Amino acid sequence: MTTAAEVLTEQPAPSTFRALRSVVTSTGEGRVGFTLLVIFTLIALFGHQLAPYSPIAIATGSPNSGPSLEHLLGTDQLGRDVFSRILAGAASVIVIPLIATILTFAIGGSIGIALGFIGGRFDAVGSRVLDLFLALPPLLVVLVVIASLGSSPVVIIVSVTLVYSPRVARVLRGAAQGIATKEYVQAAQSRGEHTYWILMRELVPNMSSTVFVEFAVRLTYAIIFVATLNFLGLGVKPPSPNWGAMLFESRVTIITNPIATIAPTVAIGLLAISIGLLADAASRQFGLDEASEILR
Amino acid sequence: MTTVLSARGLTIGFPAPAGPPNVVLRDLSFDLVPGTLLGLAGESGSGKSTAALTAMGFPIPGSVRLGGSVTFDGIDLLQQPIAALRNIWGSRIAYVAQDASQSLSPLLRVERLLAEPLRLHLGLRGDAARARSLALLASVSIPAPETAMRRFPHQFSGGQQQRIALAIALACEPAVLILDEPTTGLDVTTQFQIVSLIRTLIAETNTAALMISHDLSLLAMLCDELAIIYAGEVVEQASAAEIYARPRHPYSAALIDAVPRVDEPGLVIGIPGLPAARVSESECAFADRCSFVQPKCRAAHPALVTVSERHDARCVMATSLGVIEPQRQPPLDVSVSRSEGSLLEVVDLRCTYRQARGTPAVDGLSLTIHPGETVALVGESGSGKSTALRAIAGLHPLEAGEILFDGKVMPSHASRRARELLRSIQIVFQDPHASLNPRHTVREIIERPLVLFEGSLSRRERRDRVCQLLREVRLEQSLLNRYPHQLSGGQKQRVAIARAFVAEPRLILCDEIVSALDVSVQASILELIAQLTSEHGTAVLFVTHDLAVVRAIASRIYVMRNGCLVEQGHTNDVFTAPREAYTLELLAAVPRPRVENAAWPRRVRISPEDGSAGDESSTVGA
Amino acid sequence: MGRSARFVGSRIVFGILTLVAISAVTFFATDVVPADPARVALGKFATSEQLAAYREDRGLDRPVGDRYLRWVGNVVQGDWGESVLSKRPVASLIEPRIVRSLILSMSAMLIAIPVAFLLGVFSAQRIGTRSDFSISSTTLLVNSLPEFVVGIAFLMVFAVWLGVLPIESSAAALGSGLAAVRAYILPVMTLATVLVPYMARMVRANMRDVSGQPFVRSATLRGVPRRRLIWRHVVPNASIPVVNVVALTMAELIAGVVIIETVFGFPGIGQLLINSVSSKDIPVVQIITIIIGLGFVILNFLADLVVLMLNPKLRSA
Repeated sequence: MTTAAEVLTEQPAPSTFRALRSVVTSTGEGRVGFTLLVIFTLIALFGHQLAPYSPIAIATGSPNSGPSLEHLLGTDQLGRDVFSRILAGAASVIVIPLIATILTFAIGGSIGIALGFIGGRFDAVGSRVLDLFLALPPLLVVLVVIASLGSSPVVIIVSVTLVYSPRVARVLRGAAQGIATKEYVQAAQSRGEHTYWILMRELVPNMSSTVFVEFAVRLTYAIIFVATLNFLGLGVKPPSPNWGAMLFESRVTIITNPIATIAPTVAIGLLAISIGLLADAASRQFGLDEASEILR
Repeated sequence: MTTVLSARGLTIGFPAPAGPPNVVLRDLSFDLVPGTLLGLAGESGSGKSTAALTAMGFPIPGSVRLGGSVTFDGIDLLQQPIAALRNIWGSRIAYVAQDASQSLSPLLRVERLLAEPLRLHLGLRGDAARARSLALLASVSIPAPETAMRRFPHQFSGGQQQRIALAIALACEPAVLILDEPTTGLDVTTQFQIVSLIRTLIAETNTAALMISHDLSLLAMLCDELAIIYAGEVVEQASAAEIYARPRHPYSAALIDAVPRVDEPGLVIGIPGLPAARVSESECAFADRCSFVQPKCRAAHPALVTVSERHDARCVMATSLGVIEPQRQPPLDVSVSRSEGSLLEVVDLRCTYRQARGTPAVDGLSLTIHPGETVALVGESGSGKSTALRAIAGLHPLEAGEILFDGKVMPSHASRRARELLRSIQIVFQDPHASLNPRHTVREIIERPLVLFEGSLSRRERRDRVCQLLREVRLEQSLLNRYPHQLSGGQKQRVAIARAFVAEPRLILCDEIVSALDVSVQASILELIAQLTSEHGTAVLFVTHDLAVVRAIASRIYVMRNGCLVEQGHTNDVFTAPREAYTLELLAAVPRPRVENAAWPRRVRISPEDGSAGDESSTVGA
Repeated sequence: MGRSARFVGSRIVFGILTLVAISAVTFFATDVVPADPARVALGKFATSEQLAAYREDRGLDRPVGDRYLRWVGNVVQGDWGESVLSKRPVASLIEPRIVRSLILSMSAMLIAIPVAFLLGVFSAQRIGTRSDFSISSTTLLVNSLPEFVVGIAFLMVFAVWLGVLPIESSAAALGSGLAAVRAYILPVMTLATVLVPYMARMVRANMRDVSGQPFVRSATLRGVPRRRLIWRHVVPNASIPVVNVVALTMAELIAGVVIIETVFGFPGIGQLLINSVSSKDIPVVQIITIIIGLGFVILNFLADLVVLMLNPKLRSA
């Protein structure tokens, strides 16, 4: 039951874009996260040009030297300029996870929406199968795949997509179910509207906030996951200036050359935190419960 | 008349983003007398729930106390620290929440729930506590108390849960009992049992009770004294019978007129406008909606004056108006020429629940609707009425039986029906807040059926039709480009109705369309439906649990119970001379205002709920 | 009672199915090895007869389904094959490491669960205050970080900068007494730190959820004092979803163990797994995966049992 106070409030039309913008502008978390993300994007786009040295050129200075005027963050064990490697390595940290996340949403999202919308026996069986996939520990599965197929970018993308699709499917299934039971969707069904129309005009637009937040969350996990793989030496191969791979290489010289380890660590940490802050602020803003965080 | 709890000038507000706080309750005063029941009647936004909690001294989170006192046992509850209040709550003053699932912690067994107050306040443990708990359960007619003790709340039906909540509340024999809409969500027969129980217990234990409700007829039936709240203030206060027989405030009178009555045919009259939420400082809060309004009503804020013995009203026109006579519209002419043949015919319909295969939701229902006729399908929860409606709408699969429209069998699923058929049958749902796509404007929503079913119309023509419908449902044209979240519940329901009527259907299916609305808004919507259907000649299948509503608008009614048809016939016949015992029970359980000076309670026999965990039959006798 | 039995039964079946799925995925994924296992084992200069003999010896030329079943049979009976890399029996490689990894993970969980719980309850009761804000921010930050970042950070602080703990934990296997124990400290601490934030946030969120529910207010209005209210009414209801959260954290635990062991050079099965994956030592990878999968399934099942005990709605109609 509403009261007069709720009537005719001068709220603008519902728009996901506006809501997202308000997340960024009105919350402290949103501002910090967004700023960091913008910085990261700039580095990813222009890092290569801005780097003073080529990221893969060895012996640009004496190996394992500390920070100096020529090498702001020092050099690593092969004499490569750490600062350049950090700048140039930004892009690769995000490209593979981004592609994987997009694919994940394409596949997992379609499955989830189909299950949630169609319901009935299709959903009963489908959910069971989904549960089974969800029960598989992600890292384990990917490690096994890499063990046999190697760690080319394609393999990584495919295996990450494989592991994350069930999770996204589960979340979007829940959201779709919530909307499919609403009376306005049923009204559309009783009008004999085509399924495609119902999906595109009634269902999906009303899920957009869930989709956005889940995308951000899933992207964060994908970035962390791929960085972890790189760190374990199972990702891109040297001499690529990938932050995770840099850590893999620099670990052995951690005592003599701490900067070479600290720099990529801080970089990855800041990136992860920035998206994490945004995702958290967004999910709070949209009133989504933290259950969406559950399916890592 | 020893007063046990006395509230004076209670004024509560909530901080506003800018400026002075929003006052939601102003200057509320009442007295509670042992053995009597005071009712506080108000629609949503009237501030009645705030009143109930404040009467206990409960500091509502986020609220600001702007004035007033609650005197109990010689102390002012509003000045007490929480620790002191905790000693009083549950032992001297008890509170029963809206629905029992809100009162009972899901993970505690009944014995623990009962033992808690006994131990906290009376220091009872072990056998003494157990004995008292069993006695309490018996006093609220819970069958097999021994087994019940070991059970969890979710193992009981809604009505039983509320009885347990009552037992817990009365465990320490409080002096005051506060009930906040205690029958929300309960079937009408269960509701009758619960309120009868409340009445009996109050009399037996000589407790002073306060009951909040939006259901005026329920309070009129149950309470000794009645106070009607509008926009945070008491607008009329007297004995229940007195207010009902001789209302002195226009709002009370209008509210009485808006409540459908089971005993008389006749359409209800809605109150224009919306229930006000904020206390007005400078004029009468009801002025905008009052049919007797005069310039002096807006000149100053009216005070509560005594208009006759023990009868107060807050209206500057009270003396000149005197007793406000009830107004009723004459009953609709609902006779229909039968020669046209049936429009909709349901033959031996059978449906099951999606979740629980095998349990029949609808078990052999047959009904007929003639063109232009309004037919009601009535039943309590679980009767299958909504499922049947959805099956007719093409939203629920049929296990057996047929549905014929214009003499031809319809495909059971909407997606397989021809366009003309889809256009001819439209549906309006119960929840106005979920009926409209939040991302479509009002115009897009109402226009859609035209786009689907009258594709030959130009944009201009469609727009004109939409505007016309807006006029018919009495909404302003300025709402065309608004979004649903900017509308009130009543307005949303009107948009849903406009959408249903725009393509000129021949049959409209209404699924409890007024159940989620305030009484005054309900009445307006019913008026609207009656008017539109008679103007357009549309037939209506009206599903509801509220018998009184049916009397007002339907020509024939079908009564369902547990999936089966129990009784059918012309409305007047069924109401005045029902043939089946169940129908009689349903009618008897509907709240009616007490005849003046009649003793409470009436003698009515209610049979046990089917399929429940052994609810005993209860005979309520004097 | 019947309902409980059915619940337990269904969870057992599900657990078995999961295990089967894990084994199937493992086997079939590694079966598609482009590298011929015979060649990997025998080296570049093996002749075709030697390769054929190797394959026949191990039944590598039979159809896939057959091989899978044979493999499963072997594993179950304890015949775990040999490491392709070191030629030693897989069992001997794994056994000592399993114990160490178990100690690592169980210690971490035993620390993390109570800490997370208390943190969650503590901050839930002080919502809006400074302490809640600082706890929430910290958990959010740590939760966002990859595990290895936390690991490296701890390494830098405690091993490099402060120098109080060893940089790498091989002493867990090779050292003895105090040295061995000290080798455990950093990995356990890191793993616990990685697990706490997520659980703490869930506990806080659930406590908040439950506290806002009407039955809590009704209990207050019955005069139930605060302490009792929290521990008898709120916490039990908030715990049920949290047990599920703990169960889900198991998956994170696995990843955590693998990563932490790599960061600290801890001689457990996580480290072995990574090495085997890098060197394509398939038999070892297969066995470790099955073992970890088994542990995972068992832990999840135990979590389900705990939920069954806590939630009466599952036990009765």
